[in-house]
Amino acid sequence: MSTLKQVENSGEVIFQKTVSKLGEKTLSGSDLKFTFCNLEDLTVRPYGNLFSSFNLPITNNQRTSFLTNNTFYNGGRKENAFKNLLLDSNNNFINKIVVAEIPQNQYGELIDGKTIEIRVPIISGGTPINITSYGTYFGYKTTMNNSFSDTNNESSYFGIKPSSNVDGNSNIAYLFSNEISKPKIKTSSTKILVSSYTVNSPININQKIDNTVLFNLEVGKYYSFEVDLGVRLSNLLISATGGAILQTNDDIGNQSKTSVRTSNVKIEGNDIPSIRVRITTVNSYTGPPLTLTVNIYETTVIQDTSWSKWTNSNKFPSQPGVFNGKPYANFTDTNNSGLLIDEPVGIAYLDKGFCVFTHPTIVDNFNFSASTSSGYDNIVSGATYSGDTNFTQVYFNSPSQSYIKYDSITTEFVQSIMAIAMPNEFYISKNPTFEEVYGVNGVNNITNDPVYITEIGLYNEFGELIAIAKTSEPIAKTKANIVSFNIQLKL
Amino acid sequence: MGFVSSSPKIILEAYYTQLGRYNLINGTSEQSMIKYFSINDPDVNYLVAVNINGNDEKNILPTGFVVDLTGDKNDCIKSVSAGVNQKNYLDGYKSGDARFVTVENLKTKI
Repeated sequence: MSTLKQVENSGEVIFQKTVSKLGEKTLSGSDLKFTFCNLEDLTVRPYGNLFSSFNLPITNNQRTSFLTNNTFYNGGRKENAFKNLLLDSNNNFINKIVVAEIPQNQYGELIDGKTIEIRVPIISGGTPINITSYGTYFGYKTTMNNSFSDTNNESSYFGIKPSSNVDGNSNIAYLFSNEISKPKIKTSSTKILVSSYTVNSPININQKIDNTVLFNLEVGKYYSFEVDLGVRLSNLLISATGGAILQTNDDIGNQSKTSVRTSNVKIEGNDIPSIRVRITTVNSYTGPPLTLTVNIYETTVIQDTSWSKWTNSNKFPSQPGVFNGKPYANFTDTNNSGLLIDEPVGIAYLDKGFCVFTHPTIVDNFNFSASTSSGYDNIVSGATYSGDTNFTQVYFNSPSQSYIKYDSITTEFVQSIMAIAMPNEFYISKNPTFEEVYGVNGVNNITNDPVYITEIGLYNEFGELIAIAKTSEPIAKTKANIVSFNIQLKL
Repeated sequence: MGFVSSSPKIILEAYYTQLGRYNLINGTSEQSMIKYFSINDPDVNYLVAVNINGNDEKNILPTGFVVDLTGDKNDCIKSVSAGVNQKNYLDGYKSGDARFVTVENLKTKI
């Protein structure tokens, strides 16, 4: 006969969720391959499809929505880090990305985003250098050390909505590189009045006032332009233009304000320091003529050196205001200067197993000529890549050029089952060798020698074997002792 | 002064059999719910597992040498093969204890 005993928690089917870390993984060489994707390449290579896979804005409607939705990016004071992620320096959407693939069998269910460290080679000024990027999240949250991905709602644009159903995870992390832009979390900005003038012509309804004034603006510095109205006014636009790149404007819309200030603009080398400031009213204004004062401010960024690098530390500070461990990133600029917003270089898709580089510094200068072909692009596998910028699944032989480190995790659902063998229970074996030594039913076991448990079977009420567990070593069970098993049954 | 030692609580990892997985998907709640357990000793040869040095030490398999269901643990145990069965059930209980049944009696309910 095959004896069974009722389990202690019979009738309960309660699975508890457990998250297990699978440890740190490092991939390099042919385990880490890179592919160039060009959205404008519609016919030759198919990899523009990946823009859709990675939820990057493609169509005009998507891009317009992205630009006008305050959640994402709306320019001016409302701008956020997604501007740096998806727009180039001319505020055009990026059409090229470099994709790094983490093979499916090299991670569990999800990669821990804050543990990612990835290195890629680029050409900078004609010299090969390596760019190292680190995964981190935006903003400070007390739970961020327990989060495997960014928990901000904005990340749902690229990943999933970070609701409580998914433990607040978006399955997205962002990549930042010291070589491109260091953390700005402890950076502050201040504005200094460098010049001002008064508009002598009183402003009337729908009047445009253009003033072209030569200011002593310096290349490389940031400036903002502010109009002091003197009275509260809505629907007034200020714009400042000059040179090839400098262009900024701010529209207070239906807000009622006594002043309007543009976002910061950086004076580039090919800008001319002649700035035209245009002030336009749109709606009816019935008040007395106004005299406006225009102020020009230089905005200065103060870089703190105590927390000035993205690091491979995987532990965020214990509380906000404490600056140690892993830096988190600024999504917006609380000073409205726009200068304190961090600059991501890419996105890590933690469930898909891809790191996507969007930053033009990496994408446009990727050192593909130092890579090795894996058989695509009509190049023999293992040969030095000899193709053009449209590289497919290339890799770098040396870990000093290219590697990725990360922790991966897996989620399991476990049911705990208690099985207890009390005294006078399960001390007789049907093992033929037991009966050979101790007789049938152990009648000759006068010294109360133990039996040795090596296997547990779990049965349903119909006597069907549903699950099975093995011990790592034989467990002694005598007529007198108690042995209890906590059996973890995993789905 | 005497004391009662706590019983050893052993944590084990169990895996569904093919029948268990099938029942989870296609069966009723009764078919997938764990109600009974068996204890078995298929990895012990009591002719070998004898007292070896005069005290309580027995010649049993050391830790890690109890064989899994099918070969290497990491690769195979999660795919418990169809038709897996048990042998060498342990026995012993008070007569009339309703918590104890036999597989043979339960099979008659199917």
